[in-house]
Amino acid sequence: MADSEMIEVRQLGKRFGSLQVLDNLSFKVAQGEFVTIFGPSGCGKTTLLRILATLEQPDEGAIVVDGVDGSSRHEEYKGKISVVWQDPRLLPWRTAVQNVTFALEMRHPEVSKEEARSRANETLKLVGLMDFAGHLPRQLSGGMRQRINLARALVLDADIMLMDEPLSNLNEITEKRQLMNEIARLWEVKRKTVIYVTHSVSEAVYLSDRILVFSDKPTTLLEEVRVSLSRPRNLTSRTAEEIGNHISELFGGMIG
Amino acid sequence: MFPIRPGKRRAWLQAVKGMRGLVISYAITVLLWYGLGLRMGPDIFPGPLRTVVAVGKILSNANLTKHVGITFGRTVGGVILSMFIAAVAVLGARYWGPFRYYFLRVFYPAMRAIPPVAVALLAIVWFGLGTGTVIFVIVITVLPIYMIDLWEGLKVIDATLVEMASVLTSNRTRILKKVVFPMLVPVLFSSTKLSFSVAFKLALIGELLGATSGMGFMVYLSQQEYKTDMVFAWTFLLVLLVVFLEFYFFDLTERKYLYKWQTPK
Repeated sequence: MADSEMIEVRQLGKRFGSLQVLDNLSFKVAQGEFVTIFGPSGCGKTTLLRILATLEQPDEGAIVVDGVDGSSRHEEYKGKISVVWQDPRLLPWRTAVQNVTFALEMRHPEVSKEEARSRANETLKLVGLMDFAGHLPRQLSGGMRQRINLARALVLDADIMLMDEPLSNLNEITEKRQLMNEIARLWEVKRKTVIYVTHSVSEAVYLSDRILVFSDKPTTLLEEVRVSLSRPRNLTSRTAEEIGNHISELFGGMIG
Repeated sequence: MFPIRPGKRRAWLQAVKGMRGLVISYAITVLLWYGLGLRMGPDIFPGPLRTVVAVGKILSNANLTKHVGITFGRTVGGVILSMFIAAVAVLGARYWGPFRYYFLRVFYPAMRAIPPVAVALLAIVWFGLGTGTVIFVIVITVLPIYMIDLWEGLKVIDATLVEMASVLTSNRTRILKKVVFPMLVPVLFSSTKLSFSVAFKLALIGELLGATSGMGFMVYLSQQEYKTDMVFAWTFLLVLLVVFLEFYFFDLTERKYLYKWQTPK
């Protein structure tokens, strides 16, 4: 693996019973790259992300992350990834800041309580939720809960962030828009390697360096689209619209 | 006397109105008790006044009051021990396949079927008269309550939270401590609430058959001496203790701490 490559997916295959979900899937992601996995609903994007997160075992192939083989599922591999979930998965009995410190308590129990708290506060500040540190999840809006989800992944300072449709459960268009801007801004600050799963063309074009377009089951790589637009991006620009239209057309205009 | 301001008076009246149902139901119970006492005679069925006098006798005599503490201690000990054994057994069955079959097919059904009186008689043979016998009777009977509640509780805990935690660490103990256990607290709490009322009754049976101290033993002694009012007084004290624990201690704790993180319905 070249120095700049962070993730290598080699001939990955996954079946659920007789259903072949992923078939001979291979791609590479460079260090600090923002890559979007794009495809229609139910095409196996989340399955791929779950394999990357060690929640599922592939039937064929392997994943190598920064030189560590993922199939061995060692703590070392886990230590390199953090996940932003589709639904925030916050512990309802813990406050916002405690939900963020939770990630450190679980992965780095050697970190002192004071340090964990200070790192969590810093991260909450980064996602604009410092004033809500003492609030319980039920007291926060959907967008705020999703920001805590993001903060919980960020506080680990892992090399790779896996994001599973983090905007799809937000109702308000303004909330979606705000969080999308936030993700783009945070990525520019942190420059982590991101694998972002979505079925929204606009999210993919707005956020990614590269879009991997997946076909429906069995999922194979249909096309790679490089997005060479300057940031912050304007989705109404001609080039952005052209990229968006091109991706939509791959699915006969049925997706967008 | 200070004049009561209209606002305060309204609040006071509302509080009395709110308790009206409770006062009426207590009054009906006392009246029925009084009527039965009159009809059956004080030696067979002591009325409320005689019972209250007998309760006064118990509470004013340290040698008698200590038996309340002894029964309370045995009950708490039995309940805590049951909780601990059930937690170990259920977690073992949940996470260790070979034990699961034994737990579901042998251990749990057997525990549920064993009659407490038979256990008490056997316990006397095994442990002699005393605390060991009483606690054993409580444990054998209360254990299935915890086991079934914890087993079912483990089935309905939010698996997505466990999954989220399992991406952060492979350490099972950490996940159990920080994610699974807090989700089981409401289950444990309701089991404990139920277990306490059952355990007090069992403590009484255990002490009656197999101990030389405690409220159950005092009930036995009073019955032997034909002091029906004292039998009533000990029983009345036990009922008060259970009611206090259930409606004041458990309910208040539940409202104040347990569900504060849940969305109000």
